[in-house]
Amino acid sequence: MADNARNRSAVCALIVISAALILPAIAFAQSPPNPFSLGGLEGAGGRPTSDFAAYILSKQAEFTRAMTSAARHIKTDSSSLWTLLGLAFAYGAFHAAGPGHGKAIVAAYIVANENVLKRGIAIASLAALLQGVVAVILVSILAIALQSTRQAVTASINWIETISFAMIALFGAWLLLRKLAALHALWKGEANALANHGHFHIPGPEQVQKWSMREAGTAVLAAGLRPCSGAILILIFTLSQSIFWAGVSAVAAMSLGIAITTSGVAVLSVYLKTVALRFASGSGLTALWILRIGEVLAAFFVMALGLTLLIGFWSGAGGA
Amino acid sequence: MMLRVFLLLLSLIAGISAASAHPHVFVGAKAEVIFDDKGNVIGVNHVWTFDEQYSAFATMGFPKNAEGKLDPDKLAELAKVNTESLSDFDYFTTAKAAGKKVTFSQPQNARMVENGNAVTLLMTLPLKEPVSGRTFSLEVSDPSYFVAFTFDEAADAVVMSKAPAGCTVSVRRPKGEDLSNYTKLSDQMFAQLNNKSEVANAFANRALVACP
Repeated sequence: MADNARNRSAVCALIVISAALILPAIAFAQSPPNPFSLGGLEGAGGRPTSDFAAYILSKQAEFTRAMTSAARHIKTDSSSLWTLLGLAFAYGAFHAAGPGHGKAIVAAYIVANENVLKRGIAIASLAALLQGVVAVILVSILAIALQSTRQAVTASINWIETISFAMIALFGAWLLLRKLAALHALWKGEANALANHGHFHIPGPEQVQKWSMREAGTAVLAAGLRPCSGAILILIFTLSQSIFWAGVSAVAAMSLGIAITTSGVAVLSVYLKTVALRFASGSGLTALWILRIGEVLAAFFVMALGLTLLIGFWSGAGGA
Repeated sequence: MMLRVFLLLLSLIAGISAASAHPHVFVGAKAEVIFDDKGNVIGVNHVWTFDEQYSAFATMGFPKNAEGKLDPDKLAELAKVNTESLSDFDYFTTAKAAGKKVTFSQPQNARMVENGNAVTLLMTLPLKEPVSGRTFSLEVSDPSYFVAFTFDEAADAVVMSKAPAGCTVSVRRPKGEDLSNYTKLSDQMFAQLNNKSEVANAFANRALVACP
């Protein structure tokens, strides 16, 4: 009786974790394009409704202004570079606490997989690094090589974003298929499902490794392909001040900050999953049921996120 | 104990996700409330100065003349593109006459000028119908909070044109940067992670015109 209640609360907890991380991103997809947008859907979120949100927001405004000022003074005062790097790092860490930045993907990946603390941190860090690299490459090609205007940047961001949404949907669908198979196996009571933790349908351990590497790679791309608007803005601003190298350094520091925050989410997700499973103290089989259902839900949330973002995009939200 | 830590962390995640608004564009706004000869409000002149980062983005790739000034044709085109899509966002302008929401027509006379490292967008936003200026409130803000509007710190941030004698205007800026003075925050931040609060209201960027 008590075990049942605990099990139910553990399942609820897993749903709430996934929902808390992913639903704000879905709400995102439904807002129209802002006339001053950089492209894509990033940014729409609504006026802050809590003290905590308001606090984070006010810090971001301060960081942005302080970064602009530090960047402007670099040519005359070399110590400003360190100020800029410190600010960019803090901005990255703060900024990544908002939605996007692949936190949902990283969290879902962890909820949907076993023993992935190290891999979760690696995926979070690589995705953060990728965001920075994409921003630098994008600005280098469009602004420096092609001398394009903002429309070209906006169009490129929209394209990259569409691809990343499709990857999120694909990643979710792939996770969902795999986790549904594991749930099905559990349903049929296959003994080796218990023994092999759901990888029964994949023949050898070598292939398991290969697939999980592919999955991890997809997670990195899905979470990190879309460049952060903050990075694009600082790059274009420093370029306009003829100190592009300072902008690139700032983006590197920013990526490090983002990596630390998203890694924190990875650690938190692993911890929450462990605790949720510990609540489900009952038999090993009950725990496994809860695990499988939680995994399927997490995978479903990711797929729904990707599809909602894509649909929001095609219905004209980001196409302009 | 474990349950409490668990719930705390869960609410922290929910709180972080709820902090979803993150502005990328910062605008210092000035406004002029325009009156007609009968003492009614007929429109608003907006002057929006963008932050230097966004200004650099908006004008990237624009040709410059010998003095390093941006091409005026390109700036005019930018003003046109920006104002055309503003209607979808209700021109980021909410005005009320005697508490009743008023409607605006398409912006007129939109232009973009260089302002040091920044660019400034100017336009006239006519009201569909003239309204009494007895209590006229003007709010400039982006509900999605992608753009953070703040009335300029200068004393003339919001002024009146051809206003009848005795009309006054007062400005209330968002208090975002003064949050350190908001002592309630540190005490109760975790207690009211997702409660609607005074702080949210403090982000309003409003001007109030009062005429006798």
